[in-house]
Amino acid sequence: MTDAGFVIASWVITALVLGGYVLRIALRTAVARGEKTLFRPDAPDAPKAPMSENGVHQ
Amino acid sequence: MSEKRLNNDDRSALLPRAVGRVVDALTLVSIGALTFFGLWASPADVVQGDAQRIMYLHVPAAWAAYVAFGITTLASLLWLWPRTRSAVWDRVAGASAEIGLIFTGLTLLLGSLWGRPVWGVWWAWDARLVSTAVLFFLYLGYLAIRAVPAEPIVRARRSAITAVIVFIDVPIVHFSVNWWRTLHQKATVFNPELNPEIHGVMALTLWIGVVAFTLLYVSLMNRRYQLAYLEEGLEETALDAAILQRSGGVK
Repeated sequence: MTDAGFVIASWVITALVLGGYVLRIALRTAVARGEKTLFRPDAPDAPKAPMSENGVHQ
Repeated sequence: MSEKRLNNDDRSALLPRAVGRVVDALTLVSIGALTFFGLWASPADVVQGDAQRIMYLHVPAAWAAYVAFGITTLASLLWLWPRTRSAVWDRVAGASAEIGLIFTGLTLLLGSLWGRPVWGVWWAWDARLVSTAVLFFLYLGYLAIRAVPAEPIVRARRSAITAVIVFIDVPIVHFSVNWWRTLHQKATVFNPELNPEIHGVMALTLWIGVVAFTLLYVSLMNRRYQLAYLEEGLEETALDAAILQRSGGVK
């Protein structure tokens, strides 16, 4: 790879890393605000796993 | 929001909305300026050629990591001192450490990309490189400690103590090029003589990079802090629901 190739790669990687991080924060913020749900259970009415005495799901 | 928070300080955002928008706009403008100067306006280096342009990202990323870890340490000390203890400092410390980790990872990646054309290798067991990699793993460990479930005050205390300890590596990283004989070049701007070894458009481009990455850090901090606040509220809601469920006699 030429020097210019390394330079372009450095700019692209920086954009991907920082852009990806901004996107991650934005998505997590939207989920925390209840605006967006990333994953939904297949059966929303399914009973939850019972809890043991020490509060750990069995 | 809830009395279960570390105290009554319920600051949900670091910056007022209008200020946050101005910072975001300035960040975008400065990144645009950095790209223009870094890729076009700035001349190629007489020794390293175009590969030297990677410096305009590598050095500002390292600077932003230093700033982020410095803020984490300062916020942790403010949390540890009883007179200034506040949940705000705990959130600031956690948010800043995560952003610092991103910038440290980026510094390592960019350094590797710069090292290949200039040194001929992607990685060398050099004091600066190794101490930076150690820094990355120290703060990864700090974030792992923050993720361990515990009472908010217990988690904040152990996180704050850890943050103060791991910061010791930051001056080691910075001065490693002076303390040991390294393949990595010595400090260009903040050298012991305080005599910058970069001039003209190249120096201007480097300063634009430092300003751009500092603004980016502030912008990211504002967003990440807000997220920490929101997720803290969700944790409390989930805990309240679990307590209610158990007290209701559910097996």
